Amino acid sequence: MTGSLTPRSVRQVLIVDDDPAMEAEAVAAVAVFPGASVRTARTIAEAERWISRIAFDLAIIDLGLPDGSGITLIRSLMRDAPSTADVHAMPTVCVARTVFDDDAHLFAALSAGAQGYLLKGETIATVQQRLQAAMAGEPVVSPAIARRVLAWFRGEPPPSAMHPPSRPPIAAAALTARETEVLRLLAQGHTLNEAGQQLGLSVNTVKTHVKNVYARLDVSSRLAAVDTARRMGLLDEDARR
Amino acid sequence: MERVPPTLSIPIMRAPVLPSVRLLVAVAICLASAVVCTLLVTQPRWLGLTFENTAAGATLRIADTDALNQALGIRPGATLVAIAPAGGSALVLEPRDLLEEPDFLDTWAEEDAFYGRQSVLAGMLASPAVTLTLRDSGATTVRSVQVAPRTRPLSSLPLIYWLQLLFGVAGLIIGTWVWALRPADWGPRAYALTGLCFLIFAHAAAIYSARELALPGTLFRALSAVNHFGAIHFGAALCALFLVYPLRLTSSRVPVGVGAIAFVWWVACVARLAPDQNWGSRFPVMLEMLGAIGLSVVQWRRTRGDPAARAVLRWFAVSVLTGCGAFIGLTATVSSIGGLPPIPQGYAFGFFVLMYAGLAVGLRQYRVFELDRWAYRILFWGVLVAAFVAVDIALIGSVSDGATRTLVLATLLAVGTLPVRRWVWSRLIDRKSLPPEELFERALHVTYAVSDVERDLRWRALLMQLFDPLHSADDGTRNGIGSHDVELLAQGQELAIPAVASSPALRLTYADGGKRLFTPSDAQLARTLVSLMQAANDSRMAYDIGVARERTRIARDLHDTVSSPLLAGLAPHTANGDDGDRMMAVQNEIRRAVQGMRTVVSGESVTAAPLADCVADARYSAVERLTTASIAVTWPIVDCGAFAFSPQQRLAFTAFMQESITNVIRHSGATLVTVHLAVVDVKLHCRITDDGRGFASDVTRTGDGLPNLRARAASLGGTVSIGARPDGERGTEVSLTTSLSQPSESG
Repeated sequence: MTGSLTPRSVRQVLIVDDDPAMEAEAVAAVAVFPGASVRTARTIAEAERWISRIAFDLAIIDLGLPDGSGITLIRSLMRDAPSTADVHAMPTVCVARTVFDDDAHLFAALSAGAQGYLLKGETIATVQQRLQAAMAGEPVVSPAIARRVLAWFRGEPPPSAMHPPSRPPIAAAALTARETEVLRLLAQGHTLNEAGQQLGLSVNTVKTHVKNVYARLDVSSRLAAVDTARRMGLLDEDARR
Repeated sequence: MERVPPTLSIPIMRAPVLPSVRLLVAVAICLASAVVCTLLVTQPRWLGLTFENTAAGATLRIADTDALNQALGIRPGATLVAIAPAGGSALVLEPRDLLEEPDFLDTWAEEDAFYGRQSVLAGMLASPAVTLTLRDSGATTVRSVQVAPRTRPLSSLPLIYWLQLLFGVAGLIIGTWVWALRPADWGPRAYALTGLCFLIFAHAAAIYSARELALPGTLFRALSAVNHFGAIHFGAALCALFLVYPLRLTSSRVPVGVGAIAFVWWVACVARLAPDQNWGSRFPVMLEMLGAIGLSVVQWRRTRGDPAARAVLRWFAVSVLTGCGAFIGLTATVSSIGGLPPIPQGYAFGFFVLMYAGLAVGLRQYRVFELDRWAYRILFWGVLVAAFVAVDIALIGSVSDGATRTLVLATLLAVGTLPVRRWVWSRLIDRKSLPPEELFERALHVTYAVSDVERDLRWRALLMQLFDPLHSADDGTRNGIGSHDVELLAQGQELAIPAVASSPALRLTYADGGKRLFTPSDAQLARTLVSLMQAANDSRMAYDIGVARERTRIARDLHDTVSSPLLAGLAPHTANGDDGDRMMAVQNEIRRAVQGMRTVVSGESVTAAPLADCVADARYSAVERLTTASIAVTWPIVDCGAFAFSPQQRLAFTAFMQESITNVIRHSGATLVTVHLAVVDVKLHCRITDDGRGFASDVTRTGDGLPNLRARAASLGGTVSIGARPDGERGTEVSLTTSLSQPSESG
């Protein structure tokens, strides 16, 4: 697990976004990796054609694509990937891109194996910083995400009624004491390093804890809950969208 | 106040009789009558001959004969001249011996002679053997054949016999059907009475008209009397019907009086007090018919100005009067002027059935007797039960015929149809019920229908499924008159359901398609369902209200958090400096709008946020940005207590911190930023110190950053000071002080 200390080199990049302006922004941000060659796709189908031909180091994937959710792409890129925090062992490092960072979108991306996420509208410097962190194997853990993950595992509802109902607590998906501790520190605003120091753990161990937690964000059951709610008419504002 | 459990008041009254029970009684009468008729008609011994219908001819030609007689040399086409018992004197036969209906005879003397000959013939047939004198077709001489009269098999009974039975059954069942559903009304009562009388006269006539050659005279005369009884009372019931329907013209004494007169007249006829057949039976029936026509004219006049009643009357009178009129015109009238009817009376009975069928057909369109399409269901049920039992009786009958082959066939049929029988009976008799756990789901299904109309339809469908009422009707207006609670009415004949959600109050009549009454447990079930529906509906309404509130909230928040930065970005910019600075300022406003939009969507713009969370977010963002800009950060994490920021404060604080960090990154040239936060005396103190080139030295470069910071601090409810570091070191210190509200338990 030492490999994650050195950033993975970036030669092949895939950018999937149906919005030309957002695509251009991403292309500009990728300039932070000199010598990388960039392929772009507007749809899942187009992206899958690229994926079948090229082994990408980095894929920046918009979650709302015309022919489906970018989560599908992340899943297919991460298929057969070893469950590890080591970016060098991953077939492709995936970064999700979205306008809204609500639980349903974000948790789905993280549990599918996304290494990071970008919010549309952030400064190019922030985007580049996020991409570099992703290539260095830094899992994205803002305090807000840590808080929401903690709440999710406690079975608490998200703050807004516009979100689907939270899942009931399931014993099998519960957090370990160590994982809880890590998330609690991150939620207070500590960085991964600081959290590691406080707990007397290496930063890599902290990252592994985080990634293990993300993998257990059982979003499929959450999405099923959304579907159920929608069928029952509880979310009929969704139907009108 | 003590809660009194709901109780059922049971007035001391006779329990109501269900339509199904009335109909079943009618079915039983029909079947019993058919069985008695069939026993009577097969009572006389049988020669195995079928005669041509030559009542008007001069001879008794044999139309058909069975194999046994064929073997004896009796051929179709031969004429039966005479019949004699073994060793007795022969009786020369007359065509009149085959007369279908003794009423066609005009005088009592003729009738007596007819019955006398019937008795003699019946006596001969009862003997072990008779000698038939035959004249073969085309032959001029006669010959004798000895024949042993046998038991008459059912298969030998002519079609006309079965038809008459069937006509009678149809009349009674349709009549009873109407009465069963409107037992308290005089119209249906009179109508049902006509049906009963029709059955009586048709079945009596069926017996004697289907005889082979003879019935014992006394039996024949008794049957004829029964036939007269039915006919004359049928007419009386018809008059009574038009006396009370559609409008009630008189008190109920008059119809009863008409019935009494008919009875007296019948007694007089049977006792032969009337001068002849015309006075005995034909005139009264014709008189009654004229009375019915006259009364229908009176009804017609009285219903002027009531188009609905007139429509009913028109249909009703036409079907009744054409049915009866056609029969009377063809039989009674023709025979009263000395002729014989052009078609056998048995077939003519079919005209009466027209009258009943007319009612059944017109019922839906004209709402005759206030009934509607729903009424057909119980009729169908009654007919099905009747058909089912009739099949069984027919099977038993065929067995009693004795042939081994039919016995085997009948057994096979009975055994083979067992599963079908069981299924049919379970459909006819059994109750359907819904498992209780499905009840809740169904109530939700109703509540969450997409529209009021759909909701109403689902609610009614659920009630139908649970109680299967014969009839259901809206009970008063949507929110008005109907019952406010579930109630059993008319001793369980009806169940009142209060208005629920989008549905009006309903009144269900007769549970399980008329087969049972509503019970207190039905009422309990309905009560549970209604409260379930009300609860579900309340929560749906609460949800709808919540959606509306949320929409209002989003609209307001979008205005505050998204529109205002976007508008600021659009406004002619006040920023000093070059185009790059202006562009940067515009981008910042847009970014703020996007961020604001996120807080609206996530709900952060409504929920108060713990101060600790806001600080953590600010720290994370600052560390990320400063690290990217290669500026070191020192930001000790401190305890923020249980204080919280309002959504507005949170937005302002986030913006304040972001802009402070932006200023450091863009303008200060610092290598280290230190952030100190402290909560003291319900106040938040925040110091952002850098080691850059200092505030004073670059006052122009800070652009509009400072007014912005002041604005943010103001919306936080605090103050800001920006200047040189108080410790005299190189750099700038931004110091924010804002009051916090006391932490609340609920917050």
